[in-house]
Amino acid sequence: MNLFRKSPWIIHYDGASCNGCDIEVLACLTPRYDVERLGIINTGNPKHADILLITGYINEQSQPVVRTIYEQMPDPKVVVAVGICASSGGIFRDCYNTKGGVDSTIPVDIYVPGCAARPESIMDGVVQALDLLERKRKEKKTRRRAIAPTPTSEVPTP
Amino acid sequence: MANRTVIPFGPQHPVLPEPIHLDLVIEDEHVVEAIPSFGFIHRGLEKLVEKKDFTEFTFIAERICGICSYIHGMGYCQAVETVMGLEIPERAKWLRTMWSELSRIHSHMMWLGLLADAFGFENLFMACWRLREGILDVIEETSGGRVIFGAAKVGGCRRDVPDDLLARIPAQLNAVEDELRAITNVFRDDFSVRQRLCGVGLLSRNDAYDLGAVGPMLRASGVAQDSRLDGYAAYDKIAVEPIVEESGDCWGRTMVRIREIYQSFDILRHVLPNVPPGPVDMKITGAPKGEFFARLEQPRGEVIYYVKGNGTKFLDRFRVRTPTFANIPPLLKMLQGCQLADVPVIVLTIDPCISCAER
Amino acid sequence: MNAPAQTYSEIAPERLLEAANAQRAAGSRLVQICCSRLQHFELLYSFSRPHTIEHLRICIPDSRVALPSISSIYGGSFAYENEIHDLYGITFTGMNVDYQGHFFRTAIPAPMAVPPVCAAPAPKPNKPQPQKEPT
Ligand code: SF4
Repeated sequence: MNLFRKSPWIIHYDGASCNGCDIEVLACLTPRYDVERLGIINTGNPKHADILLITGYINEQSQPVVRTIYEQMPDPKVVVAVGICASSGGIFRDCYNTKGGVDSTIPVDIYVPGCAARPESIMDGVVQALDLLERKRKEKKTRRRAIAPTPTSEVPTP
Repeated sequence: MANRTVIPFGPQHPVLPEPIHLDLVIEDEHVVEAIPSFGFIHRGLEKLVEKKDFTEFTFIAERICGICSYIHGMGYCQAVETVMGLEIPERAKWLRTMWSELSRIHSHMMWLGLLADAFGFENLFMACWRLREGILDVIEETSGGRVIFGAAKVGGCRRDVPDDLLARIPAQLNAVEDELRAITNVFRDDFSVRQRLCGVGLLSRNDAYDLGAVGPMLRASGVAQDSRLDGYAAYDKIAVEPIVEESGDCWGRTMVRIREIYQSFDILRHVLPNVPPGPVDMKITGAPKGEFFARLEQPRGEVIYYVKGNGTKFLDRFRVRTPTFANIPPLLKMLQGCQLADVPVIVLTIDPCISCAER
Repeated sequence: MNAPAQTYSEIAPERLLEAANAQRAAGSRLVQICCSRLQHFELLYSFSRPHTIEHLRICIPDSRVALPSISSIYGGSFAYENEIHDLYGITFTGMNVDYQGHFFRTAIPAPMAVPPVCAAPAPKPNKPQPQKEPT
């Protein structure tokens, strides 16, 4: 199962950002920073993805979309909020059309600071997400083991 | 008659990093009508002007959009300065010109990459974005930031750039320009690129003018309109020739942008050695009272900032009419009758910046 | 600076179509339409020709006053008119493309129509009044 650790796929969703963070996320994929060398592929399909990168804050329109993407992703999954907007609402916090950061809608695991977040810090966030993903996977495995014996022990009794 | 089908385009579409939503009414692979709807990125930042004072608002103006961020901040400052009757120092004007040209180059190079991605030329996309990093390096050296660098300020520039650094930049730019030639030659000469772009998304001269197209859209349809001719910042001391193409299709718009990149390199080569010495900002006292429309040229076209002050620190109204917003009626016009497969390319050639359009 | 001259003129709402027709005949381009919420609603229509920008100002007391759409004269104006309708709740009659309020989808209807609260956060008492400084 080490395969998983080597090649996590990410999906990028733009909540309602100013674009600054989006183009930095894209810049991560291009030759200078090149996260693909870590085995990361940017996919468009939430069912293929392990890591969800969200830039920008959440508003009425994007809330259901973000929730759907999150629910469609297979477990274990990690959510990375990129930029101040995604973390807390940032500079647009006081606007009438905002709902706040991404954590107002779905649980966030890693917050990447910066306005705009630099590619280096985005990559750092993604690398932390890899570790977290690994930990979550192990946890899930042990939980499954812990739960598994109970039904089997019950089955032979009748 | 074939059935009509409605196909939603977006909000998550692979060619666009941003959510744009279009409902395409299709008849036999041909688009009959395109209906846009906005609100995914609508923040209502124009209303924030009531909560932040006019100097603080510069930061918000810079975050209207992260791609042409600097020009947004600068345009806002320019509008406020005119209302307040400030004449900013000469050096600040030249530095502003330098940063806005750097922004133009980086935006156009980014756009070229996205266009290559839209017609499936992954390799070219990567090449454009790799070169663009060279421009971002220059921006970072001079201002400290990469995409949103907060160098604008009411009354001048937030940072000064040392002269020895200014002297070093042209060599860096030349290196980028040399490499860029190879890439733009591909756009110019490659058969498959031409195949995808020539004759697609035609916009006639009259339509472009009547529907209010701006920037490269308007110039690719043969209208020589460029707000830099108005001579804001230091543009009154630089000869800027609007770049015009006659064809009015996606190919023409690509050529306009490519030629504009080289034009910006030329402007920078003229600007950098001529930045005069002196201070870069001035003290501001009082508060804006009055109204003014500032008109600037962004990579995507003409942009309008309206500022109305009432003599307190809080403005009555700030409004920005961004180029993408003005280009929406022409876009809907171009989409009528095009083929479904061409929609991503056509949408991309207006260089859409949705966060600009929705603010 | 060879910046174009900017002129402002105020016209009555009834004369809007006539004025737009005159601009069109003179070969102007519609630059933008801007609505502001002051104590009343104020609309600014900007038209430009080389070397001039003209702004036509229209004041209406409240958003229930319907304005004629100029989209029959300038086909591109529907974008601005729909935007103003969605953000300010002003009705335009006779738009060539009418999205019925679905152009901008906002959390609250007509969010920009609330009067400005500018006057409310008055300058802090311990700070000098900004207007006094220039003297
Ligand atoms: S954090 Fe800053 S750069 Fe990123 S989307 Fe928000 S405003 Fe834009």
